[in-house]
Amino acid sequence: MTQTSYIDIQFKGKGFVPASLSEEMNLPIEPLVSAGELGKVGRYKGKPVPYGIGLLKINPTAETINEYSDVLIKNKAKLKKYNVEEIIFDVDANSRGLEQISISADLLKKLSSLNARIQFHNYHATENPLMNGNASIISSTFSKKKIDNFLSTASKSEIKYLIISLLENTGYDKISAEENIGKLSR
Amino acid sequence: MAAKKKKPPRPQNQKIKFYDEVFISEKLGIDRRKFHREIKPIIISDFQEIIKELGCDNPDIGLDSSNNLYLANIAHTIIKSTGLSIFDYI
Repeated sequence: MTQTSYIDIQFKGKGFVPASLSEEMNLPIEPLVSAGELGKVGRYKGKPVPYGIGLLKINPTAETINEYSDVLIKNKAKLKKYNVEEIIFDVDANSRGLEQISISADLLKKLSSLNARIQFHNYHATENPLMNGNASIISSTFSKKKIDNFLSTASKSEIKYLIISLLENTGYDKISAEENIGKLSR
Repeated sequence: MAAKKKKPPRPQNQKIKFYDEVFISEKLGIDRRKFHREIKPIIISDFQEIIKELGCDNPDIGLDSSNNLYLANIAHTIIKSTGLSIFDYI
């Protein structure tokens, strides 16, 4: 994947204290929230937070997901002991980065054994100002040349995303927009 | 006869818009990556009971004109109010 792709392993659970797991497993798990500490934001601001969240930043490649899955499988008992209830491989990458990910059957088995899931976020689509989906903003802000340039270099999925966003902004819900795009491309 | 209790407004009656991470992070004045990595996981963990009702692990985030925070399933057929403002998360 590209250098602008990111993968974090999120560890979550009621009563989970990331620092304890980090020490036990000798992994640089960053504590985002520790169970029992006073919340800094949100629902538990100023109150003890019942859950913990830890983030482990890993190199953004499918091989690394595989390697860390092995590490976590070996430490399943520790994960349980430290109240980790949920493991998420959060892949935050642009379209090109996502296209390069291939998940083998072996990796799927490992993830299933960990009861972990992978979530993908395509940030390129949302970070490109042309992809914010408001037709009036697009036409008033961007020159024809810029729009032409975008359309000539955008991938099929980016153009699809743009059209869906435009339809959503004109009152379609996401599902209807996706269905109608599907009809157009048949 | 006892007076009928006034029902709280249904989220569907509010004008709730769903935004991407770029828009929300700009609104909060933070980096998109910070929102994705550090704020959204807390929002999701704060409202586990809503997440279960939505039936999806990674909900869409909606805001009304007062910046109140809503969570919705991907099809936006179920929309739940969190009772908090998006600004409670910075």
